[in-house]
Amino acid sequence: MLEIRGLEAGVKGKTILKGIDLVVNAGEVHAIMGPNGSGKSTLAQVIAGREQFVVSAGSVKYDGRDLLELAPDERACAGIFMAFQYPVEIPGVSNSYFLRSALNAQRRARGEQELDAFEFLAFIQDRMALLNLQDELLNRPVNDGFSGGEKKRNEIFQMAVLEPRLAVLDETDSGLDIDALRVVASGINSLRRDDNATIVVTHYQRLLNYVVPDFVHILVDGRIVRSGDRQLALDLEEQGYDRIAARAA
Amino acid sequence: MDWEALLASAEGPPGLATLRRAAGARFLERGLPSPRDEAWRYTDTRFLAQQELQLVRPVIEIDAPDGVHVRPLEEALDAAEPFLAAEAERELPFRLLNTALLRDGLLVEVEDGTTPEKALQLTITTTHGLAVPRLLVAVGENARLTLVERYRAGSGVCLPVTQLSVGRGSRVEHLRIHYGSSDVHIGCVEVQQQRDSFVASHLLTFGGRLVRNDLSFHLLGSGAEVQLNGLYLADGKQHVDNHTTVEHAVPHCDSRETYRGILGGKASAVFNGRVHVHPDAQRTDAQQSNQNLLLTDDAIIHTKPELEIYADDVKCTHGATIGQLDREALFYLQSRGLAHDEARRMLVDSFAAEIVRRIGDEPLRNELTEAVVARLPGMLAEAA
Repeated sequence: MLEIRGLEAGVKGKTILKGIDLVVNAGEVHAIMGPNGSGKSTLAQVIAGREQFVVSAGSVKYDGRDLLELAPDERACAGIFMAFQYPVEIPGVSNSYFLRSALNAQRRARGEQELDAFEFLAFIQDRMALLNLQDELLNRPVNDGFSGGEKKRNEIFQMAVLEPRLAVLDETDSGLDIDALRVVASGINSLRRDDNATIVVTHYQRLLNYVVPDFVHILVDGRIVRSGDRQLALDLEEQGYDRIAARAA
Repeated sequence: MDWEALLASAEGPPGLATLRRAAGARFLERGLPSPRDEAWRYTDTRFLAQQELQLVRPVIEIDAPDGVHVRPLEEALDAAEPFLAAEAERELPFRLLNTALLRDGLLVEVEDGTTPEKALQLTITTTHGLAVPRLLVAVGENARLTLVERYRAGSGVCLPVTQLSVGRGSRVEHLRIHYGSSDVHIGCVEVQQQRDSFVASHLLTFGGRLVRNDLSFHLLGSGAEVQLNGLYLADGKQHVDNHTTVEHAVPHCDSRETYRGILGGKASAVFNGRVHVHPDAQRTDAQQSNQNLLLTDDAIIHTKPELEIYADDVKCTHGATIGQLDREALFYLQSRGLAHDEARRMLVDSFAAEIVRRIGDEPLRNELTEAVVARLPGMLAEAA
């Protein structure tokens, strides 16, 4: 589904990703772990299409297409979704209007019928229950005045509504207490299918107790220094990034 | 432009002849404002002197609900007297000119305790020439009124003056909407508020070759409260200048001012917000904010708060922002599948909606929501 080869990228002349290779197939969950500043978030944002990050070498193929050629909205319509580490507050735009517009933009791109306001409400009912969201959250402006936990749940709620083929979750666990973490994790798990894939970007092992990855990659200074299965994340928690990185070097 | 000849040839009700002459003499003495005058520093009206303007009578369409009395000024001179008594001594040149040419005036009265169910709507259409509509509105005690002044103008010059007197305990929602294009619109609104009255003023400007509004709110009785909401949209070479003044004359009054502008093309705008807290006006609570969204590098905004505070136990805040569209927000919307243009439109629309949603009257709120939606694509296309 996703094939990253020799990816180098940076911002304002500073190289952050220094040659990433990563293959993600349908049905898989990959965890990308790494210390602060290792480039985890940059990788997520390059996949989502953030223009501030300039790709200087390598390629990213998505279903065989050159992903880097696509605008962010084209990537979204092609089934890519990034849950933001810091979801943006947009005063004046209601959550439901925003999400319906986004869903309809994606449906149009797929040649499907758009949903009107009533059809949309019916469509999102069980997804709201999944994330334990109250109705009033729909009518509030996007993320405006939401608590940290509400913002993260809102991200996964959007993911549940938009049903991406490839979801990239950027530090979705940060700032969540244990109850919110459970809600968010069970939301993510219930969306797992054989035909979609998830990349979980995280600093801590904690989320991986709930969202069990098939593969774990350790990112240090812009390179994947080790890859393994779930055990690698547990070792990492025990030994810390320094020792794991040192052993890899 | 021969102002003297224009004044001499203008017709009007005989009962107003003395007032007209006095205002005319003062206007001639003062002349058009010059850019050296601080209040007109960024708004140059001297080109009017180069034009040959014919005086025209505006077309005024009136939709008055039960409980609201509307009379032509010439049939209501006695009731108009308190509004007009000091008009020949005013400072604003275009207000003096309006008085000097006074003919097409309306007097609106809402009696004590009256609460009309619907809005009083006045639609004033001007297509050419010089028009000087005048609206005098007297709202009694414990009454309610929703008043809409809707100006539609293709070209020409319109100098409308509105004076609104709001009695004790009354609530008024006032909308002044200007759907302009290549016209000149230099307007004036003066509001006097008595004890425990509430006024929500909405000034909505959709452009014009040159638009200038002077609004003043006089809080004359304790417990009076005013909300000043403003939205101005301009592009091309349009120019919009809003000068507001709030006079906190007595203790325990609140004012909340929120003006927002969206500027594209080579448009320019001015916001000057004066808050004057008189020495006795303790416990004043005055807030002011002016936010501007510039869609192009060539758009210009001059924003200036002007706080004069002579009381010591007051809360006064002000803030001004000038910015472009938030790139983070734009990326967020795009990352969910909204095309770049659609995402921009949604953000700009939401910026305007923060003002429009303050309009209490639902049909009017819908009208303005649609007017913003209709105006934006052109502005955004030009800015792209």
